[in-house]
Amino acid sequence: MRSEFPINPMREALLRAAHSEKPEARNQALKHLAELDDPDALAELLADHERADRRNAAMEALAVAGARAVPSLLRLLSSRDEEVVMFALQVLGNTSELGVAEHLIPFLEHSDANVVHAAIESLGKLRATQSVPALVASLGRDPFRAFAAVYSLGHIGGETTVRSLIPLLADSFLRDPAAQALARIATPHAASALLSGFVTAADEGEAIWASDVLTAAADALELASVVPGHEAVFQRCQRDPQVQKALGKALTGDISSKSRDELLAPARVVLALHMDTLYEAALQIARNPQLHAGLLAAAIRVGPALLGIVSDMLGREQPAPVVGFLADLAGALRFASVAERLVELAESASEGVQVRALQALARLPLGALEGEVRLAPLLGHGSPLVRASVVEVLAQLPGPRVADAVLAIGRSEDGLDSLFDLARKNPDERYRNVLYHHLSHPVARIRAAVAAALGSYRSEQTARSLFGLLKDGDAAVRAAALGSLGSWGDSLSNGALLAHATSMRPLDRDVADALARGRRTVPAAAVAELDPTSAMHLLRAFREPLAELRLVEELREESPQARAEAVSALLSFGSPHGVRLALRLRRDASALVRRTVAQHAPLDPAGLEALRDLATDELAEVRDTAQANLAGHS
Amino acid sequence: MSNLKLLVIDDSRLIHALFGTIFAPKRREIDLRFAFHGREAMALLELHGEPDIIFLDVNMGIMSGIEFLTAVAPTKLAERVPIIVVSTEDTEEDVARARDLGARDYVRKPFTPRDIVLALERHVSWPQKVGGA
Repeated sequence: MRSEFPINPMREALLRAAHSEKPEARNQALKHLAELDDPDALAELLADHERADRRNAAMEALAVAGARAVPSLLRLLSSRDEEVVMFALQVLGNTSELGVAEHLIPFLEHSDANVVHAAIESLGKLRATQSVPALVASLGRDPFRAFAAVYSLGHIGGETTVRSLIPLLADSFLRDPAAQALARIATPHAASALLSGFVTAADEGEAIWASDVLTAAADALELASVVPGHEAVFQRCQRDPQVQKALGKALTGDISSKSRDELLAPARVVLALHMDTLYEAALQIARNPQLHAGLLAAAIRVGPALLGIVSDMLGREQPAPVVGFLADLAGALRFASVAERLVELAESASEGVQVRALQALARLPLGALEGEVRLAPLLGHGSPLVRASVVEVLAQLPGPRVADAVLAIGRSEDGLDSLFDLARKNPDERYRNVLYHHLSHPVARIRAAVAAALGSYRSEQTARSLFGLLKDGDAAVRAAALGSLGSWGDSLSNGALLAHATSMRPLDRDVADALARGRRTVPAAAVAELDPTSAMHLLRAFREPLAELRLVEELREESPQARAEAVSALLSFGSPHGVRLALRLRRDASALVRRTVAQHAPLDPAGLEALRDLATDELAEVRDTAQANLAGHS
Repeated sequence: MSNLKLLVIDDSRLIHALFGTIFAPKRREIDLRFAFHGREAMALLELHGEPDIIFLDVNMGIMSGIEFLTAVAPTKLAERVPIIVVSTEDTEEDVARARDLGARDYVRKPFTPRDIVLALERHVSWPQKVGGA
């Protein structure tokens, strides 16, 4: 039997690769099969019932081949083997070639049920509008066929489809797929029908179905809100007393006994339909914090129309999760007029609400924040999250006013790093002396904050102070000082960095990089004084030709690490000569070196050639690295 | 009382939707998960642990039902979890191989909701598990 399917070694290798665990390798194999192999030969494999793995790979490759594979697949539709016909129909549905739909429609009357279902599903995948009448006719057949037809009609859409699906909301078996299909089609009429389905289900006490159909209605309403002419349908729904009553009932009662969808769906519908009489009930479901994300997304779509209710609710006593949610909403919608209430909450509420009120304030337009300097004492709050949030608010206000307020209050040890964070983000000369005063603070975290903040206060004295911190015993402090000096990139920072560089044995690469950010030419005098490793760091940071010469020499080093390092550096330098020499090491004896080439090879013709070589390397790790680089390219 | 955990491995979204509809009335009592192929199913097993029952299609890309059964054979998954093969009439060879690899039952496509519920009840005492459904 196997002899019917002649073995082609290249194809077999690709079919095997199509089952690789690595997605990139699998996709490449399928692409090669689709591009290189004869579609007829691949199509033949659909009849290989002994080797499902080869058949499945061939099916995937034929789908990738698209139009190229269509003639071969259409020929298979006349096979006497019904399973082959079924597979061919399935693949045709995955080719995205709408033109094949005409050939699929006759199979809706085939004697084999699986063939019929394959045809139905493929017509749905192709979104073949010409098949709607035939699919609608299938709705009256056996339940499985009708189910498949409903599912596919949902993918095709259109008003004819909507009209044929609406009655199915009363069918106990087909109502679920019909609701999902209508939600997917999402015309205003589909949404309205789903809402009616909800009212009926709620009246009949079918809680699960009511929740399902209302979720579908919410999905459809949100999508339909951008369809031209939806307003009339929406207004009709909005004014329908039965809809109002059913939604009101769904939003009240004990929320702890209801599922997420049971609570969120009615709120989403209320918001989508702009039913302002039910806004408060809808927003009250924020008592359950798990609903906040979904509710926020729905409320943001409503926009400024929610200002009145948000303002009103914030002015009254509410459960903490509701207040937190309202703060989030006010921030997201930039409701500047509630800023004063948010400041009150930030000053006096529980920590969770404080943080959310502060985060909302930080999102408001600057003009709304003029009075918020009174939040300054919160810089000494015990919670780091509150302190960080208040920094975000204060950083937006005019610097002198904030500095006045901040420096007028007593400072707690806890609040010092927040104060320095503020001094960095919202610089004012009055902070400078405070910063200098804490250069030798015993707590490293505070010294690091000082070092970071000093980056915003460029002066000779600051450069000297930062130079001192470059020798700090704590790595975070040194890194912050380096970052501050590196960010200047001028003669002041260069002087400090160079002095530091020449005192280091060996020179840290980060220092070299920071120095390179501020200078155009490599400091020759410094290089002359440095040890070879340090000089190399400096030359590499400046991308000096001299460094390239040294790196090329290192390609011949005995140590694989040294060769790999040189390969990496040369490939990042990018000079044609250095790159060419580095790429030669794709055949290096060391896997580490080959993997480094695979990782950093440029995606130009020479680099691609090296990567293709490495994609067939004996070691999987090297192959995978090369393939990942190639995949990133594609 | 824990929910019944059911894993459906099939590359057809239509079949996923159908299972969703079949078990919609018992949504609160059934934890229904779907995988599009064997490899995705193996990832789900690793993430969420073993289900109470698996419905497994045979013909799928990337990793077929037979390949899935072969891959999990060393773990003896099929001894602990009933695996029901769901396939077309014409792939009986595959069904026989699946049985050799530990599959306990077979539901022929096209199936009715009743076929699925009966297969489930043959292997899992779900009313007890879900607390008297």
